[in-house]
Amino acid sequence: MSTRKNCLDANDRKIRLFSRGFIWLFILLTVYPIIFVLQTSFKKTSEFYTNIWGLPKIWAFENYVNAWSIANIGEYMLNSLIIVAIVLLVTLFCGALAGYALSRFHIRFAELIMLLILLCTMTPSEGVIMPMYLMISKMKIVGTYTSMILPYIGWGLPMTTYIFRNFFNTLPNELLESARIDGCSETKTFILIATPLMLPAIATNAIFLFVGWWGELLWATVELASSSMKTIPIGLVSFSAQFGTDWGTLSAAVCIVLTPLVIFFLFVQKYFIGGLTGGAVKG
Amino acid sequence: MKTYPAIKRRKISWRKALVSSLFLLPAIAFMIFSVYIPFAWNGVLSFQKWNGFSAPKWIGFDNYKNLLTDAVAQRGLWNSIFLAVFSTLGAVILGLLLAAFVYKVTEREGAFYRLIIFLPVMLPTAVVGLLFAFVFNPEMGLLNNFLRVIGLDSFTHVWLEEKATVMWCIVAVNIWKMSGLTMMLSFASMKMLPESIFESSKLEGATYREQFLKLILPLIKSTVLLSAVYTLVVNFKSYDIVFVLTGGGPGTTSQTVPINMVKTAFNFSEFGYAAAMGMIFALVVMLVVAIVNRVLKGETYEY
Repeated sequence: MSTRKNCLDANDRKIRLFSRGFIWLFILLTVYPIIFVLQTSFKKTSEFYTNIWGLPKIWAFENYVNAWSIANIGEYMLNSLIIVAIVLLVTLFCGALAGYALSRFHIRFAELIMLLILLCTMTPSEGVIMPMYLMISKMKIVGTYTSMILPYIGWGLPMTTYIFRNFFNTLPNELLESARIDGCSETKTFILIATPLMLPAIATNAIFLFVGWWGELLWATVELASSSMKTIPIGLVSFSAQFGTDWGTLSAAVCIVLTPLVIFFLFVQKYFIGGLTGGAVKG
Repeated sequence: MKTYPAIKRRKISWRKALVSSLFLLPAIAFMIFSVYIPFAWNGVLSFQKWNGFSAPKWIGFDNYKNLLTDAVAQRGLWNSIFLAVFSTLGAVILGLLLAAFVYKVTEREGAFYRLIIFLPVMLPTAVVGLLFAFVFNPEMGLLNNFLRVIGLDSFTHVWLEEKATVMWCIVAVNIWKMSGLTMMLSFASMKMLPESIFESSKLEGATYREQFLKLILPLIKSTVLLSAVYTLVVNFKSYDIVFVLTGGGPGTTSQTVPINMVKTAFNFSEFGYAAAMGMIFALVVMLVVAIVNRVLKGETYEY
């Protein structure tokens, strides 16, 4: 790195300066709305109307208390967390198994199965939600965790399987062969050799899945329309419809919702970049 | 003695088949349950008239024929395509630009920038919608206030209530949200390019812009394709963002297919008609994705 730095000529330096400028501009656009909401969340709504831009003069922590109790954010967040956690675990588990089998087992119809999976990734959920709702109501589980978890798993699995398969395709064959020669069965090879290597692929998939399901709105709207069980996005939307002008409390609710996301991302982002560069996501 | 190996081999391959089907079974079962069965059922529904309670009635292609004359439904389809195409175009181009620039700053700076640029991709759409409700609000909103501060009062709009601006506002939000993905994926595959490929072009005095367009871009094409397709599919699912920002308004100006579908099915109880919309929409999505695949694919290069 240091040698590269030394041979930076004037031209390179100009490019770097320009790059920095462009990026900062975009970052400003990205971050400012979020900072704005963060600072609004500490203002009383009456103060917000007179002082839009500045920092709050009186810090109104009660916004957070209100959001938590009036908007029921706590309860909705728990619902969302339970649903997303189960969906994530099951999807990653099934997707890794299927991806491994498709990549390594020399199955006769592997190409055909892959094609069917890719077709699934292209089928928009709009084409399936209505019958899905009818199926769920036939099963008499409308408004339960199961009614959210089952479809989410099925809709996420095609992409997850695809990414896992691509990842296993990039693992060197020798690594797995040697284990087999040492007398490992297929299952054992998978558990002992492949699993530890897949952390980056798991992180990549986990992020895509978490992002997708933590905020899912279409199925949740249809499914939970007449139910008292709500997920976070539904809760936020109905809260903003009711208290649309109570900007302070609304902002506080938004900030509460963002916290688990930021924590989750900070945990897995280290592996995420690795997963992307490691060929987990390569067309 | 002679038959022993054959038996053993058959035994192994039988076991192998069992193991591989055990590995595949859960994933395939879930996909059949939540994609293939409902999609087939949707196809059946689209040839029926059904209000959700009485017995469904077969009506052949009537639902599809009605769609041909339904101006609101067609408007919805065009809106969906408009949003998907322009949002994806914007997000992929901006994402590539960002990747090109992030590539040129130092490693530590870059890691920080990437984290922040990727942040919007992570945000749930409901949250993005609320953030931009702040931005677009006509009196209290950031955008109008900013325009007033810099003295461009005449450019202020009631952004989400005017027919001329509403669709472009949604496109802007989509671009804001999704460009981080292309940036991340493209940067990751640029990082894998060996340093040596730049040397000869540098000797010939190529500028960075030429290098990027003629050297890097062809090499990372498959990644760009992947992120374009993914962004396209995400942007086609335009229920969430439109629902939160405008609910399809003003009137039906920004109404997309999914919003129209949910209304038709669950408010007006025309399940068959909504199913037909869903079928057409699914076909259009697959068609557009196939076209993008075709246009961007071309030959791939090895390095």
